[in-house]
Amino acid sequence: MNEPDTQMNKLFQKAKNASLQHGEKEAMHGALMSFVESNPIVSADEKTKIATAQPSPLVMNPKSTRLYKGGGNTLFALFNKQKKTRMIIALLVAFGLTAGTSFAAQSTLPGDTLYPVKIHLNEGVEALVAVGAKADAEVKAKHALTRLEEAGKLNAEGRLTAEHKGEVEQRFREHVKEMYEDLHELRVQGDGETETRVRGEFKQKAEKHRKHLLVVSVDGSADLEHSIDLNDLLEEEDHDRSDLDEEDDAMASTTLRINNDREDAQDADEKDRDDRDDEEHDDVEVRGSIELEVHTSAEKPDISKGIRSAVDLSN
Amino acid sequence: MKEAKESFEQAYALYADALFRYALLKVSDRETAKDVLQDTFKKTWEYIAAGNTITHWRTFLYTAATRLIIDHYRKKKTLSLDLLADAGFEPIDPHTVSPEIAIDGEQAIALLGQLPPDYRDAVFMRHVDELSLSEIAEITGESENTIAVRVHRGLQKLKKLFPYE
Repeated sequence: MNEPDTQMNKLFQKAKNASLQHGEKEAMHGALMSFVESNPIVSADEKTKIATAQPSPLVMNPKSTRLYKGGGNTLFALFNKQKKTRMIIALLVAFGLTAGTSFAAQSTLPGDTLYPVKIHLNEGVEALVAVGAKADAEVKAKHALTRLEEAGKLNAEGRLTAEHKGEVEQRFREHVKEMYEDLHELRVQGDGETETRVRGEFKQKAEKHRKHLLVVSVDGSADLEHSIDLNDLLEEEDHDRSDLDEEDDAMASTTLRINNDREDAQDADEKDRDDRDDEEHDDVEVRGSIELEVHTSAEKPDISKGIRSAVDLSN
Repeated sequence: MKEAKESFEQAYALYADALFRYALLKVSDRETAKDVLQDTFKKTWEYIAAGNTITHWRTFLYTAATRLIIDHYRKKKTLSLDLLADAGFEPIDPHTVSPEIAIDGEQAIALLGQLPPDYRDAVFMRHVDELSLSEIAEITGESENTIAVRVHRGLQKLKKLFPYE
């Protein structure tokens, strides 16, 4: 019997009907995309930069070279840095070690056990690794939109209680306020185009959540008291932004003054240059810590072996 | 990054349901199958994020899912049938149902799940997921000939297990 008979074919056809429900597939897709965003690809250039970035004095010492042959990108070298870098690495290592929990937490909603992990660990790390005003603003916008998405899901499940509504609104306001601060910084830096784009995209995406935030009463009418008023949230933040706009000139001149002061100090004092070098190395160290996270996730031998095996076979 | 992300999303759109069915066949529990599916794509992205490239998505994903399911069973404690019954699991008697009447897709998978594992996997991948013999051979690490034999014998066993004409 090389081919199935009619009855078997019917059974196989039935089996093909088993699938994820639409909501499940969408939710998992969303969780996976968040995972993708928080685990960017490490490019070959970045790897090279990390490998060649300021080796530890211990690595440069001929006596130590044998022990730390890998160059500056060793765990020991990374830990032999400044306090800020160590803190970032510690957080990322913690994130790597708890990756399973944090991934599970990614699709949680207010009131769920793992929701604090999502808010404080997952999103905290995302905010931490964002470098520059543009990236900061985009991360804040993403978190604010996530709050709206959560409110919509809670509403759909009939779980949008007053407590959860208040929590979502408060966090949304915090994210948006921080986002506008970052956007303001972008404008001060002269990148008004990016600022306008990020702000426009944010409002456009926020609008898509509007209909999901409306609580419907038993009789079919809108229950405005328990609904989240998107206009209220956005108008308030717009107001905050216009307050910030009025400070533009003052901030710009302050920034200019700071820059001038730093230039003077550079000419006058060699120590300041060293400080800036340290700051630059801090930037490099942030990338180094991302590399470390990748190594941590690759430490699971079974699946890595399986994946390698699959690739070998497919090649 | 953008290209890799698009390929990843496309692979999810194309293969998520099939991988879910495959996981469901092997773990017999919907929630666990969803966990396996999510972990499969998560591990796959970690592999991409480390700078690697995937050329054959389907075989890669099935292989990753298979390894995760093996891991799952290594960690899982043995469950007695009584415990399973307490949890609401009821094995389906193939003699009491016909594919033409009220069985849904998941029950059909549960029926196929009653084949011995080697035959079950080969028959399922060949006739439900419609993988080629060479693809199944890649995923399982067996020769094409072995897979062809398993499919053949699996169909014979299924005929005995499911005797409706």
